[in-house]
Amino acid sequence: MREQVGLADLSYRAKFDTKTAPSRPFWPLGRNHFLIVGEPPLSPPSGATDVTSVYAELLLAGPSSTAVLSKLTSLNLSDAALPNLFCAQASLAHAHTIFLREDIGSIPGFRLLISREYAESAWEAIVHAGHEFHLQPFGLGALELLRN
Amino acid sequence: MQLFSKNRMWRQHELRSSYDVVIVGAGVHGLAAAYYLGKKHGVRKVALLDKSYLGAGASGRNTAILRSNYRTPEGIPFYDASLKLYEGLSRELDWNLLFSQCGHLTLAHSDSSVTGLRVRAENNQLLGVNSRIIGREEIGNLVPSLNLSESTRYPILAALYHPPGGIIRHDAVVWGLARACDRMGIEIHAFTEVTSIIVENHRAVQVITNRGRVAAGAVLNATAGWATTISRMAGVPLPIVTHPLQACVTEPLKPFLDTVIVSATLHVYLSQTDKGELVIGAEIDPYQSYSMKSTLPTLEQMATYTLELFPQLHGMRILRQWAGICDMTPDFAPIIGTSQEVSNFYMDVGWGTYGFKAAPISGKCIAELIATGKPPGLIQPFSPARFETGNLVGEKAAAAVSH
Amino acid sequence: MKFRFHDKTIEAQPGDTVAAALYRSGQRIFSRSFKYHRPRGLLCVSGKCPNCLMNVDGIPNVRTCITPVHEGLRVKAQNAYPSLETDFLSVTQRFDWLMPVGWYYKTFTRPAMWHAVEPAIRKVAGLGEILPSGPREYEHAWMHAHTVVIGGGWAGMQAALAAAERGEQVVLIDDQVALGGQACYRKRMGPRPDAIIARIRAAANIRLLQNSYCFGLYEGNLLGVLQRAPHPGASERLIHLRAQQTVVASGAYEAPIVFPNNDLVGVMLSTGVLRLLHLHRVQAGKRAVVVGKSLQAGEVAEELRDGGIEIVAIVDPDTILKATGSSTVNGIQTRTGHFSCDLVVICGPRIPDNGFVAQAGGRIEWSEPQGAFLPTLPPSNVSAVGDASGEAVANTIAPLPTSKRAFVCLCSDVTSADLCDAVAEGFNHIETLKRYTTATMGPCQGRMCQLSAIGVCARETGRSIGETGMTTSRPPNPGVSLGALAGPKHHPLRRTPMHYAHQDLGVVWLDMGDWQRPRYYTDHLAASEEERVLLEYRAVREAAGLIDVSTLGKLDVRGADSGKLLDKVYTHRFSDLPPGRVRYALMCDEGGIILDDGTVSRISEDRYFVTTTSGNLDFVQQWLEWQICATGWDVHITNVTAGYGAMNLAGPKSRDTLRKLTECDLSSGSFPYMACREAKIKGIPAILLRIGFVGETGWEIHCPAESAEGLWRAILGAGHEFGVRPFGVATQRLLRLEKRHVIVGVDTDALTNPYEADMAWAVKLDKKEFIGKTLLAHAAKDRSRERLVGFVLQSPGVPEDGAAVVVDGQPAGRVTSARYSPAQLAAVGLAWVKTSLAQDGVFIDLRVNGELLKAKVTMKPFYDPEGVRLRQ
Repeated sequence: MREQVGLADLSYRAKFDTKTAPSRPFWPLGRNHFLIVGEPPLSPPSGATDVTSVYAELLLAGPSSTAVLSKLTSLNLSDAALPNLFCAQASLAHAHTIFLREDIGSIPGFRLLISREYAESAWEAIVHAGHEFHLQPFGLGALELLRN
Repeated sequence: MQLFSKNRMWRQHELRSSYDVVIVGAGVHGLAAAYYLGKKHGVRKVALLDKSYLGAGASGRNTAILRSNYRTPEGIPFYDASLKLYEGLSRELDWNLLFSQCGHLTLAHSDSSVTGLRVRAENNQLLGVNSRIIGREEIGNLVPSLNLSESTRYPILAALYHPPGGIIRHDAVVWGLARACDRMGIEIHAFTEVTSIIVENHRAVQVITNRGRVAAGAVLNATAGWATTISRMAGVPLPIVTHPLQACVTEPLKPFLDTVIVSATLHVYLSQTDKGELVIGAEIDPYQSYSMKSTLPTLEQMATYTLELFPQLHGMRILRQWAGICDMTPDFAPIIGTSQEVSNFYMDVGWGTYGFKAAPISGKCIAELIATGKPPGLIQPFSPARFETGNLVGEKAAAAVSH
Repeated sequence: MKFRFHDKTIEAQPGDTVAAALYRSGQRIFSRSFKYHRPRGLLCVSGKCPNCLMNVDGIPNVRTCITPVHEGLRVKAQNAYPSLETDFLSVTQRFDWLMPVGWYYKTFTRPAMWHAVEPAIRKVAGLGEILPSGPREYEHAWMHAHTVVIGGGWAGMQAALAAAERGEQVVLIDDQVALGGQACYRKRMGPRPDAIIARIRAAANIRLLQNSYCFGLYEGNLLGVLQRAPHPGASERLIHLRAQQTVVASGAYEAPIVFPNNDLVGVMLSTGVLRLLHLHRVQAGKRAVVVGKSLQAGEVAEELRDGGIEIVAIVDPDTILKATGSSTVNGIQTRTGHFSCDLVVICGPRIPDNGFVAQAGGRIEWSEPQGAFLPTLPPSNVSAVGDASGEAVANTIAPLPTSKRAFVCLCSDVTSADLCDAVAEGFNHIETLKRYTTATMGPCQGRMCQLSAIGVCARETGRSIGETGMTTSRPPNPGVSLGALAGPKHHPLRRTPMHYAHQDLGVVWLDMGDWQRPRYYTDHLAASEEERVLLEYRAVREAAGLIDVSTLGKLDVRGADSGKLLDKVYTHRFSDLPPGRVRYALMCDEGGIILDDGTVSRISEDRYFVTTTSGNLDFVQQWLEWQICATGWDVHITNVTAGYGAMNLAGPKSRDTLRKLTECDLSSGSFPYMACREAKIKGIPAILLRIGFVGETGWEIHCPAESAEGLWRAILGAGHEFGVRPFGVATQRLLRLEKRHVIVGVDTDALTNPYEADMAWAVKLDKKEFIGKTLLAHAAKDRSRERLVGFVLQSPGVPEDGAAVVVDGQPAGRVTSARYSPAQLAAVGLAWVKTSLAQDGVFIDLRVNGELLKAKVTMKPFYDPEGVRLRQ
């Protein structure tokens, strides 16, 4: 992952969808449309809809992650168009996806929120596209190691 | 013998000051109307005006598929009559239209599309059109190259087989009709663009073109994609929206596909010409536009769906793609008849994606209407008045890709 | 390296193309022409002409002159029988007088004759054949750049460097073996600009796409780029390249000159000869005649001499009478004499390759001094540089003698005489001339023939070349394979949360759009669909059944104006729905046509839970969002479809089953029909709707997707003692048909309104305003032509879905759904009939296997017509 690219399933993370700007860190999805994503347990802001089960969350990280994604989406993923901590929505392997750019230190990272029923197909498509970059699946242990 | 003759197909003329009938649009519909006006009714002081070369519009951009296996009791006899006229047209015009009655297969990939096809088959049989549902084995015998595997994403379950359907050389129809019109003294004016129509006392009296103005006893709008533009000049509103439709063609291959293949589920239809090129069409683009520029996503879709049906074609190259524009009505049926606002303004429009198939019969019927003032029974269901009475035609129910 | 050419083994050198290796091995004929089967040899050696098309590894029409050799390739000639050297069909050229231009329009005009002849024509038509080939991987990718430069020649490299120095992100596309354009094979252009190439390679903001070609410039500056062999695992990759600025630096290519026998083997373009010489170290011949204007031809001759080819003569095109030889050229006859040779080198006009500018909407006009069509008014985001802009192009147009052996179009064997004949027949516009003769419409896409065809058309019509104009430039050009366009096969599959539980039960799947739903279950036993459906049916009617309905669209609707919004988009009223209640919801468009249906449940004062049909979810959501945008109402809609697994437990034993898993009071007294509750089942938080699509006591249970499989298994476990079974869509269709419940899109079509569908009860015309009200009010008064009715067949048999209703031998309606009903012991169904027949007890005729069978119309459900069971 540090040298090439890795893929992890982080679907357990809590997600809330709301139309009023929350007082904690959020991802703006549109005018009056915000998404909160975080480690559970996470208390929902008032009026928010719990979408934890709606989205699977995949984390694609590593120097080649942009190259892998550019085989699956028309979204411009360059540093200029989607800098760290910015988000965008587009189709990924024919499934609607929310892209959250969240680098791990200097390693580029993308959190991909994909409607759950498509998640398995999307996972397979990412693994297939990642072949030429020696993509490896990884678990939470490796993520901890990378963070430290 | 005409094989060795080099006679001109049609002559060029100066624009005269007046004609009995001015036909706007010299595509297959305008030409067919002129042809039957001259041939059946002796009306020969007719001018066909076209803003471009002959066949520049949908007449030369369609995928040249002919069939009559429609769904409704209104549509079936109409298109059947058209197909029968096409069958005799090569001989009548002494011009081989290369009509290959190779059969037409509409594939079903789901139970609901089998149901839709059965409705068509039943109605066709009741009205005397040769059409029936066939199973996978018979499909395999007709098209051995088709991927009939059950493990594909959208396996083929059954098909509507329509033996008299097929493909024709679309340009040849234009040229053959044009020659026949010319021989009757009907004038064809290419590159003559209509810029306005003068209406007095609910009659279209003059047509103004970039080459001058002409008086007209009757005006026929046969301009397909530009139908609303011309009608608006006469102050006649039309419930028509315009959508692009795209198609493409591959490099020539040794013929391996002898029937027309249509798949509504996969939004694609294809056939192979006598030259060996595979002609592939898509469904109409989902947005309204007059643009005749082709797009990459549609091309990719056509390729994807073609390979679903014929995976072995993956290495074949697309040679060119193009777009035409389609005038769509709310019920996916044409508008043929006299306008209610302007008494001598006739319309043969709203042809969407099915105009080419209908050219001879609608030309014949509209000619009769213009010459006699009485609409033949076949076109009565398609009168412009139906949008006020609400008696819409149900072809939309069978819409999506219905080539 | 070695490869197979038919049964021969051919040695190749590193860097060889298939054609170069074949040429070196002595092969001279590479193809047979389309119509006359004339032998053809290499011409352009750059993938632009049709002469070297062969079958490579099963794929037909491959340009062998630009296809690199790989160990073990299998190469075969095409369109020649028995061999390239002896082709029986070449006899057709003896009968060319029988096949003047357009001959097929003028012969066999009697249908019977044409039907007899056409199969024979199809037998000899076409070019390549598809042979078995190994699997190929195609990829897609997307890229974005500020500036894209098409062409890695001198001008393209300069443009790329300049943009890079301005700090722009640049993509440089090149389709040649190496950067440098002509400099790679035209030694007299000077040495290869290695310093510039090094700077390009070193620039951090230039991305180089080599071995790639642009095939189309589409709306919005979207370039279609085809990259060959992007990595060892893929054969082609299609790149969607979005640019702000496009620089067309695709140079100019050489086209042939028209004279009798100009298609003989050994007549080659000068660039082709030079490419063979410098890129592949192959001498195209020993003794050459160079045809061209003095300066240009002189330079080429010099270069060939340097390469060891003897120059017999330099001949001005104006003086040529014909080339001589039977299949291979052996000389040139001019006004002054005959020159023997084994190679004729044509210095033809150089055609600026600027079709992309035209595709982008730019204007292309004829420039008389340069003898070329040049971009005069490119769009603001597209520019042309170098030869593509006509910079160093100065063509003298050679004469276009009229001859039946002077080939203009090599792809379809169209001669200059054919073009003249066609113009005489009235095809005097370049677009009709093209369509009538098929010149410019073959695999070379007009590269070799367009200028000459325009030239002949201009001369014959007395117009200038500029007035004659070009034909429309259409992508893709160069062509691109269907495989590359289709890309990798990502068929997204939508799996419900219980997907694998169904698999364990031996499910047979039903595809519904991208979704896979259980059709019925086999328990891994061999049995027919009918038997299994009957088993599942009995379970639901006598015990209980469980079906996965997760594919239902589910929307969470909150906010003060939610009720207002739902009142507006649905025909029923929802603002007055008390919390804890469910109501059927029907949606129509402005025309009163049914769009969708589902349920609306009021979970709490300001929160509704809306279900839609599986296929229409996206549409319904957009429809609702659009209304919110238009009104500014306080409503927040969240699509929670994927967040909930949903299942429907129905049947007399469903209460007993569920009771084992929940403390919620399920008695009809506290949880009646059309009520909803939030409750925990086996500890899992769920929304329960008491509704009855299949006509039995039952609950639709929605729970978080990740718990759905567990709940599914728990319910089946708890119900085991009562005989509860899972059931699929096939069984559900039968159950609902007995209840005469309509499925939108199955029993209705794109023109159906609720009155016709016998659903007047779902429309509340007394509501102030809702979408479709005006026309629905109209439809309510004016009972229309057709109505949906139920029927019971009066004899054995089951009509198929889609069977016709017949009146007086004419089609008068159709069956939308029909099944054998165990409750009625006869086939029952729904059908569209004329309104006059829509009355209880009327008999109608249905066409079943070609026979007319009587059926009795009923306007009531076939099962439990009073709805007692589902309220129990």
